[in-house]
Amino acid sequence: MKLTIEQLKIKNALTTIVGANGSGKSTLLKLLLGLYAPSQGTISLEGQDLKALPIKRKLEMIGLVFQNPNDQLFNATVLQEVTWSVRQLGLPVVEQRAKAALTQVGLEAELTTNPYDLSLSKRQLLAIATILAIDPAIYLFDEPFSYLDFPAQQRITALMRQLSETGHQVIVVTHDMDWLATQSDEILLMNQGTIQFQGTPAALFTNHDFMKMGQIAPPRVMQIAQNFGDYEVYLSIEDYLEKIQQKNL
Amino acid sequence: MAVETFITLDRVSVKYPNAQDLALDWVSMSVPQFAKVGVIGNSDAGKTTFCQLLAGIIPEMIHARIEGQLQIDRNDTKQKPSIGYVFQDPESQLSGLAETVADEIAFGLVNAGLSESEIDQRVKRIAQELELTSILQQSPTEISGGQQQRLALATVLVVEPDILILDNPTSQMDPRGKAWLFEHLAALKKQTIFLVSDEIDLLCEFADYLCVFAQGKLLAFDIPARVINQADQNHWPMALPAVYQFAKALSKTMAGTYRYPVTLGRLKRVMHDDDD
Repeated sequence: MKLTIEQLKIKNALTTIVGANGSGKSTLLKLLLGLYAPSQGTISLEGQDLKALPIKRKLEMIGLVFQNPNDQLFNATVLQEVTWSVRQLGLPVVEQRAKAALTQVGLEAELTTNPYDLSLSKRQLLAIATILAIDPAIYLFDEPFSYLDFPAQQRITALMRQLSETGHQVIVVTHDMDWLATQSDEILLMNQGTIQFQGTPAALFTNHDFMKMGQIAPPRVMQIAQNFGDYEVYLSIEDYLEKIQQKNL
Repeated sequence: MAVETFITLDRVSVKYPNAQDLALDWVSMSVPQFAKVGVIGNSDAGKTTFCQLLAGIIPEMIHARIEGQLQIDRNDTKQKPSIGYVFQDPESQLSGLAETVADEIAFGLVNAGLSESEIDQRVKRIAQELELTSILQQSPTEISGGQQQRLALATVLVVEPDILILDNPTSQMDPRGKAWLFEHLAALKKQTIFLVSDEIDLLCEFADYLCVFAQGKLLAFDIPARVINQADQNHWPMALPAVYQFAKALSKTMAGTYRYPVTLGRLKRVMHDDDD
């Protein structure tokens, strides 16, 4: 995978990365985490070169939830899985942190369960808890909703909001347009290893060229509106209902 | 005309060794041939167990105690119907033996004893449809998660089985890939399809029947509109289609016992009926 990015600045907000399968989204996250080093150019974090940061410091500052939780879990119990990463970084109050993180994702009743006896949805929640326990400044989520069921999706969405409102940087790779339309502050569109667009959901859904390039479908509410000959941008059903009510007044 | 039953589950329960609860609990349903069935439910509901039971993976590869009867009729075909199964996690699907994406797709066809030119043709066609052509010579392990999921699908679709069982096959796919799959499946008229998906809007457009699982029990098995209205009335914790939410907010009801539409086509009709 070849990635070419001229310049990119991500500020504190809930940022979403979209793009077709194979466009470089996961590669970008791994670059940001420092798993891959760029062959040219630099990535800096608060003015510091990422390469120069010791790995421990890096993992304290940036956490990645992998696309496939099976790539991330290898301990015998749920609790051990979470305490392991906390211990590796030498952070204090290991058990307390781990249990708090597991409570946040709703796995407090599964402490002694083997991670591989959990459903994929719960395994994904566990993978999220391992990062929460470290509480990095930057959270990277690679398609976190692929395996989460509906209640878990709602829980993690609220958690992401809370994180971004408490000064964390949250970066999410997703294909869920209904989700990003209502939740995302900023969108990065990737295509063949480059960033093609950076802006708000409304700006993206207004631009047909970008949508085509990113193989993006508009949110379902826009499909409904288009069905009635209305090609405006709507990010939620509430948006569209408001417009209809205004028209009827 | 009575629709002939093709697959029957009669009070089926499944319990895994060491598990406390039943994975499937007293499930009964009759599915006609060529039906398109959407399968929904939250984590631990029994969706994957249901799929693996239908596919024969339980008990052939995964040990579990089964009670009740599962019957798949031979119907008009003389042979036992062939079954294709797509795993929820694409990494479980791939053989691990193929060096290239092309070989992985061809794997099932080689096993079926097709001629080389026929195999070549089918591989090329499905690769083009699933946008895998440019990576045919790459290793299945070095492509992206979404591409692996497309590949897992290709390996099953390419053999054209009589019964297709797909366990959340689009979870990592981009919107165009998703749309392609739903369209492709909708166009298959000679196959019986079970599709687990979180895409409730697409599922309502696609499926003849929806079944909802919760804690191993089958809560509902009915046409999508009836299932969704019932789910909302009973506050089941699941996503509701945008069309339904929209119609409900505007109080656009349909004739009949169930109230709000779940497909764009029906929504359009109830909106127009109002204008008359």
